[in-house]
Formats: sequence, C-alpha cells, structure tokens
Amino acid sequence: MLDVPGETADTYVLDDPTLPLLVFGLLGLLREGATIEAGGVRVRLPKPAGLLVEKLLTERAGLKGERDLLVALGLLIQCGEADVIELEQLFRRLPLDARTMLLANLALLSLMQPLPDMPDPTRVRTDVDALLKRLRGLAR
Amino acid sequence: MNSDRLHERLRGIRSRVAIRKWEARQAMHAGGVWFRLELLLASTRRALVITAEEAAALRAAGFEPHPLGGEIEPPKSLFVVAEESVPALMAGREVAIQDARQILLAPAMILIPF
Repeated sequence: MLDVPGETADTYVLDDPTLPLLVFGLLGLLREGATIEAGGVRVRLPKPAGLLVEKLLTERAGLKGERDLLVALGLLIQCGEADVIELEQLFRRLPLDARTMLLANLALLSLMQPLPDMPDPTRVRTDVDALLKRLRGLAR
Repeated sequence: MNSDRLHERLRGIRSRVAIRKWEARQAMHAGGVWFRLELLLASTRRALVITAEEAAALRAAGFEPHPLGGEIEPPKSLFVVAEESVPALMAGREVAIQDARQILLAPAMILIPF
C-alpha cells in the first residue's frame, strides 16, 4: 500500500551543520516515472498522479500560486486514464482536510482567468469538472 | 540558509495547515459556504444573470433555487437548470464564470451545468 505523507508531520528541518534543509513531506508523493533525454542528459520524471496531488496540496499564494495551479492543469492535460486511476487511489488515502483542499484547488482552477504562456484553464473546464465529479464520488 | 529561519518557515507551515484543517471541518457548515459555492460554479458551464422578476417567474414555474444561495448574505437565487429546460423567453445576461465580481453582485442567476 502506498503511504501518503502529511504536510506537517512529515515536513521537518534537517539540521545539518553544513547545509540545513527544509524537507517537504508532500514530495514523498512522487514516484519515479518515464525517463526522457534533454540536452544529452537522461532525466527520470515523476509520475503525473503524485506530482499532480503534490501541486494541488502545497500551500501557495498570489500570482505564483496561480501559476502553480496552471502547472497542475498542464499535468492534468497530460494524464491518461491510468494516471487518473492512480490519482483516485492517492485521493482515497488523503486525510479529510487534504481532500477538501485538493477539491477546492481544482474548483479554483476551473474558475481561473488565463495567464500568458500558460495552459488555458477556460478550455479544459469540462475535463476539470469530470475529475471533480470522480473525486467527489470517492469522498462521499 | 540559517536553520533558525527554516524552523521559522516550518512553524509558519504548521500554523497554516492547522487553519486549513479547521476550514476543512467547516466545509459542510456555514464556514464552508465559499468552498461549496466554488464547487457549484466549477460544475457550471454557463451563468446567466436574471432579474428578481425572472427569478420569481422561475419559482412560479416550479423551479427550486439551490439551497446554497440562501446561505449567502445577502441571499441569492441560484437556479441550477439544464440548458434545454431554461424557459425560452428567459434570455438572461450571460457572464463569464471567471468574472467573480459580476457573479458576486448578481442577486439571481441561472447556472447551466456541464
């Protein structure tokens, strides 16, 4: 069974004397996906479902927050049915507050104005609505 | 980066998550009305602003307003009506679903779902 990390319980400061780090628990949602080659370098990408959940749950504000939501939209556009099923599996394991936040951010995404050079949320509202219906069906 | 600043950031994250958990518990109560309104609007393909007279005519024709509209102050008459069921003479004034100002100002609306 896939463990779903919590944003607070699994987010901590790694008190390394040389390089202290803030470790974000939600990044634990990421699983290895396809490998691509970019500029001669092979890069292992995260699978879309975990990255999408992470994008929809990480707290954000202002214009950067809107851009991050549009990144989530870009991921959603790339998702196939298998990815959506994986997303549903992750969603089922989230605590209530995280489920609520994920649904609220998806709804917000559906109501956003387009931003230059970013995926246009107004063109995929039907897809977002379909995903919201699937996830709300699981939440009941 | 100094680890004191990281600890400060972590405290900030934890306090905001605590607030979010409280908001999530409110989701189906009065405090969650905006969350539920967002969900309702996200499932809306088109929004038509109508007059109070048109809202009264819809009620008289048997259309029930969505209960969410009554939870907002001032109350709004929100009718969720399938496109084919909108009375022919009721044109309304279409507003973009992204136009939060127009949506919030409208006293009555027809919301056509996907």
